[in-house]
Amino acid sequence: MLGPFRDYLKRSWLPSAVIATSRARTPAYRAARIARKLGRPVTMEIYFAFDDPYAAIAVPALRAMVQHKPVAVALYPIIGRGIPDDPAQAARDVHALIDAKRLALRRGTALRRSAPLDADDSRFLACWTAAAGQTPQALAFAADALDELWRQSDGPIDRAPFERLYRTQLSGSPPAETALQLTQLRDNERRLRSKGHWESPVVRVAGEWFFAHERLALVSRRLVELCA
Amino acid sequence: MNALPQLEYFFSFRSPYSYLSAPRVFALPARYNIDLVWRGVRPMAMRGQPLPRAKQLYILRDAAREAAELGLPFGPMFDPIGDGVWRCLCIAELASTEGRLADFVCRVGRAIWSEATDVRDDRRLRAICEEVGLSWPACVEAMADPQARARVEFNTARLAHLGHWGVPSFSFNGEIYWGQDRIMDLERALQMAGLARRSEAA
Repeated sequence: MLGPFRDYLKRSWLPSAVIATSRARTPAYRAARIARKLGRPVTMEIYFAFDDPYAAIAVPALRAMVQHKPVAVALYPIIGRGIPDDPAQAARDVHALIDAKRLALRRGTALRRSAPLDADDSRFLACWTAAAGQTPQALAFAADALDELWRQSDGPIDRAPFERLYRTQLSGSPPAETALQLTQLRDNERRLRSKGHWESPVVRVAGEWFFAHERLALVSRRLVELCA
Repeated sequence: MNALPQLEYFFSFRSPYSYLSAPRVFALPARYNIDLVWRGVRPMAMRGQPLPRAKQLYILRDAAREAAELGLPFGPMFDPIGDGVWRCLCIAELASTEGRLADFVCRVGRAIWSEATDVRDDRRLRAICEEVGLSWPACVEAMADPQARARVEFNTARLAHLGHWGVPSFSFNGEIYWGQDRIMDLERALQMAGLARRSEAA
C-alpha cells in the first residue's frame, strides 16, 4: 500500500513542491531585503576555482556587476569541486574550455588558453586569494588573475605576471603557500557543499544559487531587486 | 541533389532542460537549411551517471527560472524515469517516422513537466498520443518494438561515442553544444556555415 504512495511522493509531490517553493520569496530573500532597508549591504558569496575556465567568464563579470552597488562580496576560492566518481569528469574539463570560449565570444572577447589546467598548477593563486581575506582588493586580484590565466596566456603557468598583479592589487609580495591556506580552501569547499552546491563558478545571493557563468543576467537582476 | 548538413539533437524525456529546448530546436529547420536528426537517449540516471541530491535540486530550481524566462509552463511534474521514459522514447521513434515528432515531444514534455502526467498510465498517454495524431494501437506496438529500443540504444551510444554525456546536446559540424541555453551558440555556428534560410539571413 505504501509503495504507490511513496512512488507518487518521490516522482511528483516532492519535486513539484521544490519547483513551487523556488518561486516563493524565501526567508533568506526577505531577510536580505530587510537588512538592505536597514542600510546593510547585500551579501553575495562567490565560489570559484582558478582551474575552471568558466570562472574566467564569471568572476570578472561579477566584479564589474557589484561595482557601485551596496554589495558585500564573500569570496571563496576552492580547489576540490565536482561530483565524486563522475565518469564524465575528464570529458567535462575538455568541454568546459570549448564552451567557455563560446561564452567569451558572446561577451566580445576570447580565451587564449588551449588546454584544460590541472588544479595543482593553479593552486598557488587560490592560496594567495585566500590569504588576502574578504576584501574588494581580493576580488580585483582574483578577476585579473583569471583574466591573465585564461584570456592572456597559454601553456605552462608563469608565476611572474601573477606576482606583478598581486603587488599591484594587494601590495607586498605574495605569501608562501601554507598548510593554513590549504585548510581554508578545504573549508571553502566544505562550505560550498554544506550550503547545497558542488561546482564552480557559483554565486549565492539571498539563499539562491546561480551557476554564475551562464546566469549573469539573472544574478544582476536579483542584485538590482535586492539593492533597490 | 546535395544532402542537407545534419544537426543531431540528443534529448531525454527525464531532462527538464530538454523539455525547455524542444520548441526552439524543432523550429530550427524552418530557419536553417539543416536536416534535424532526432536522437532520443536514455536519461543520465539510467546510464550510470551520478546525480547527487544537490544537483537534482539545483536543476529543478534553475529550470523553473529558465522556463519563466522562456514563457513555458513548468510544474507540477511527474518523473518518468524507468518505464515512462522507455514508453516515450519508443513512441517518439514512431512519431519520427510519421512526421509527428515535434508535436509529440513538445506535448508529452508539457504533460510530464507541467501537468504532472504519469506517462506509465495508458489512459493518459493514449490521450496525448491521439491529441497529436498518433494511432494508439501503433503506439502500443512501438512500445513493444525491440527495433525502437535498439534505435534508442544506438542514439545513447552515439552520444557517448561523440565524447559527451549530457542533454540536450546538439552535434553539428563536428562540434557539440550542450544546454538549452547554448542554442544561440549553435545558431551562430549555423549562420557562420551559411545555412540561414533567405528570410532569416535578411
